[in-house]
Amino acid sequence: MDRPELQEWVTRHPTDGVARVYLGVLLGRSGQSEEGLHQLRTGLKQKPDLHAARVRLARVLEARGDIEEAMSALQQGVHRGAPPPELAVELGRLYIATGQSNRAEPLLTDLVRSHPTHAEAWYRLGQARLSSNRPAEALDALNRAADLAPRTVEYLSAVGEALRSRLRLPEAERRFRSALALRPTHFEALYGLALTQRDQGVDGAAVQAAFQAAVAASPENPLAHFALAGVCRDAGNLEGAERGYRAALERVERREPPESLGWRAREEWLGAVEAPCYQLAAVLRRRGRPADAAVFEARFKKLSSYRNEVRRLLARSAYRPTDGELNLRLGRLHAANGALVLAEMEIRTAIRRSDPPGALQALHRILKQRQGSKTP
Amino acid sequence: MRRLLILGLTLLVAGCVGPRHEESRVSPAPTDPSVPQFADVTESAGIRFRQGLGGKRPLTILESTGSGCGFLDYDSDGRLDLLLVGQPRCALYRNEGEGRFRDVTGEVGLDRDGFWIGCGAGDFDNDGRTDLFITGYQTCALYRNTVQAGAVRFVDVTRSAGIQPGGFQTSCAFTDLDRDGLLDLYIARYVHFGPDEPQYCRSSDGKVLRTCGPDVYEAEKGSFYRNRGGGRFEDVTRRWGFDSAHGKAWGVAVGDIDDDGLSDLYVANDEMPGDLFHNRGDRVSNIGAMSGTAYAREGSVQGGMGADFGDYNNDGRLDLVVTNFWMEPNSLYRNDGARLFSEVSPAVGLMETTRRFVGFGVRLMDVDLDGTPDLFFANGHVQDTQEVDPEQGMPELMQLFLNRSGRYVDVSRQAGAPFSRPLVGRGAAAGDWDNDGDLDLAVTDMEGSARLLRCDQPTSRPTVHHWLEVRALTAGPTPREALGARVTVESEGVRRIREVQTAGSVLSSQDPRAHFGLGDLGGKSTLDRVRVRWPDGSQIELMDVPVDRLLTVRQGARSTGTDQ
Repeated sequence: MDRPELQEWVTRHPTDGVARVYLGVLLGRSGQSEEGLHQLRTGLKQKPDLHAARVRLARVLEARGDIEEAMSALQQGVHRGAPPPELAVELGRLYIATGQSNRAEPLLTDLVRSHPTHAEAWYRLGQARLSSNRPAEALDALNRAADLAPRTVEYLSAVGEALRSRLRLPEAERRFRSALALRPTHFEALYGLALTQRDQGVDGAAVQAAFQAAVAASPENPLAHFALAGVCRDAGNLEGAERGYRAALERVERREPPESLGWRAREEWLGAVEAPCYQLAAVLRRRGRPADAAVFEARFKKLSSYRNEVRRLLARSAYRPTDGELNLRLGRLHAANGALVLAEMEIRTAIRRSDPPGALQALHRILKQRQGSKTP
Repeated sequence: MRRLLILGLTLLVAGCVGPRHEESRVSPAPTDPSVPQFADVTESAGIRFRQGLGGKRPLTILESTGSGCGFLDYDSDGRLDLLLVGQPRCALYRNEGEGRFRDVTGEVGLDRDGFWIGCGAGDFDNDGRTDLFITGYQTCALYRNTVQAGAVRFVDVTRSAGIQPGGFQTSCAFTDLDRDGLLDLYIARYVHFGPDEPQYCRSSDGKVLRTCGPDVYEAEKGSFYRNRGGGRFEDVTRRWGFDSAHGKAWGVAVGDIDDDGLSDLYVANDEMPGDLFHNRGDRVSNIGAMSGTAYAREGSVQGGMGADFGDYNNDGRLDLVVTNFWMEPNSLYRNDGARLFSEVSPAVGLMETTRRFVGFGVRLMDVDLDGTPDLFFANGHVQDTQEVDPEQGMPELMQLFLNRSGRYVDVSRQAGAPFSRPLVGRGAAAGDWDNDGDLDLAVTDMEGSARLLRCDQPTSRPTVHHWLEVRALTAGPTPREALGARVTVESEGVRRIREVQTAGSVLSSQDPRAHFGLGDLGGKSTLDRVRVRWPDGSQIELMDVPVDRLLTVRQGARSTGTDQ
């Protein structure tokens, strides 16, 4: 059945959840994402046990930046009867990706108890533990994943990274090499291997070559460009360093996350922009181009000051949860830095908390600005 | 490159891991015959100084500060004495020789209660006796070293000197920034903390109350007091440009970064950009960001704690090391000249090896006397969040890295039993208290006994490693340690520099003698040349100087003395 036929079928059989879900997938593929989402949502309401569709819906929502709804869709699935482990794994992954490892860990711990041979569950549990700074336990979980699926490159590479962070460098190197034997262009393994070699004090040219291999494997990834630039800089190759930092900056800039992902994601991204800006300023100054250096320095300072001030206000706000004044200040700060969605969120929180003077007017201004912007 | 890892890579989470404390309680590894051994001689030396609040949790940011220590020769007997700063009382231990120390706190007048935190030593009144400044929370004390009835007595002259005791002070430094022959005083401050400020903060999961980070508080900034002579100081913070400091400071280091004869100042700030104050003679410029020393490699602010200057690569330029918070590797900034620095921690092997610790005390010092400065770190966390993270306790291991051709090799497990006993490390001071030619250590434990460590060179080393300690004294009838003097030694075309400073590390005060490890000197037992550039710019050059001794050089004197 092709798409028009399916659309007609759904019109005639509006309670056929399966058909709606299938139609939603087809619409999404053909670029009609809004209509596709509508069909997916409706289909899942009618047929809530279509777990694969639920995962798909969550991923589409996540890609759009609708994290809360994505999470909610998965939570509904996980809390229904006996869901397949893939739903919990997906929810765990989303928790980790949004910095909620404290929610991911119990979920995944329960999962590996009931499904002890589920390799991906162990892998995600390892990641959750890593991000909660429990590296030894993380390594146990990642090793379990790698034992269960010894030819899964991602697991081998993750074990290598966990070993590297535990300073077990020769073992880490072996794991990265095992991953690369299976897939020679796997970026994480190439990058991890380069870092491991650097940390072991391997000859500079060899480390440079290792980072170059990582760049070649994933030219759009800013990480290896940045690291390679650092190696060049340390070796006195300022031209290579400038090239690398510029490449890293361009790639980071292309990865701006939607504001709806929240401050944490934006802060991380801003930090990732700052890093090459900071290094470019330093390299350009050494190359005798102070005017060019000043451009990057100014940009770095603006971003850095914004980020640090938000961090300070957030820390104080967490201590004084009923003080809306701090949220209002945060909102104004976001607005001054062009983050209008975040500004609106903070000012709404300010109004909810204590409605400080000027909050409503600030909200009006931001709503007006957002109406004038491309993404209201 | 930690921050770029967030961009959708699984490496992100792997990059954010910390130490498992149980693994930190390591057994000493088999002895490496080339590594000097440190022995904990605290008890046998007669030192009994404990700090701590009985395991109280959580701690406020003030309670987690800890305190420092200092080596100084307060009674001018040629032996370094030990000052231990703490709450509610400091302690001064006189070095009686033969490895024994005696508590003289009461008899010298240092037995005043207060929330004492850091210390600095220097002869501010040029009477030839080392004075003291002790920082604290809402208190401080400038102690003038006097002799009364033949005995040393420290007299509190804070008020008459015009020094204001306010704020949350941390480290301090005596240094003659205006080169008028009088030691000025820089006092670093941390955060605005008091009963009306947040006391405890919740962990990220909201379950546990713990120590708040510095982010929660407003920054307090340091003060610079110019010594006007006659026992009076004048607050010239703004006039000198020190108001450009970012605040939230822990460590202060002093050194002449551009070899212009003027001492410059580095201030390590906690989660704020670091401040490098370039001395222009009558004011300073804050060149932290421009010099490349204000931020981590990725341009992020760091939890800067301790700082020290030293020439790790013997290129004649002072490099800078800064200890940082957990998951932030300690930073080694290589001085590239023209007041530009490059952060080279990954290239020298300090990246992964130091990020698992919260670094405080730090010294760039030649432990094994091979002629290249090594690195010592005193580590200790500021909060105990084991309720939410069993891998994160407060006590941590000290670390020793030997400089092997410009790369730092972690030899902590081979350097003796003290390196396998965790402590909540804070202040650290280096000094040759037994006058045997190598640098010993004192370290404070925020929740335990301060430690006195003795360094012993390996006896089975195939070649002799020579040394020289230079005591540089100013001119005049009552000469004092010439803080700011630069000592250069040369042999077979190899040049090494040290500066005479008591500042550096964190909350602590150092042996003012310039200490050189010299390696085997190719079988020779003399140095071709020793040059001292005095703080006023004049120089003295000595030829064919015998090694393995303490050399006293007096400014303006025709001859030098060798005390050993």
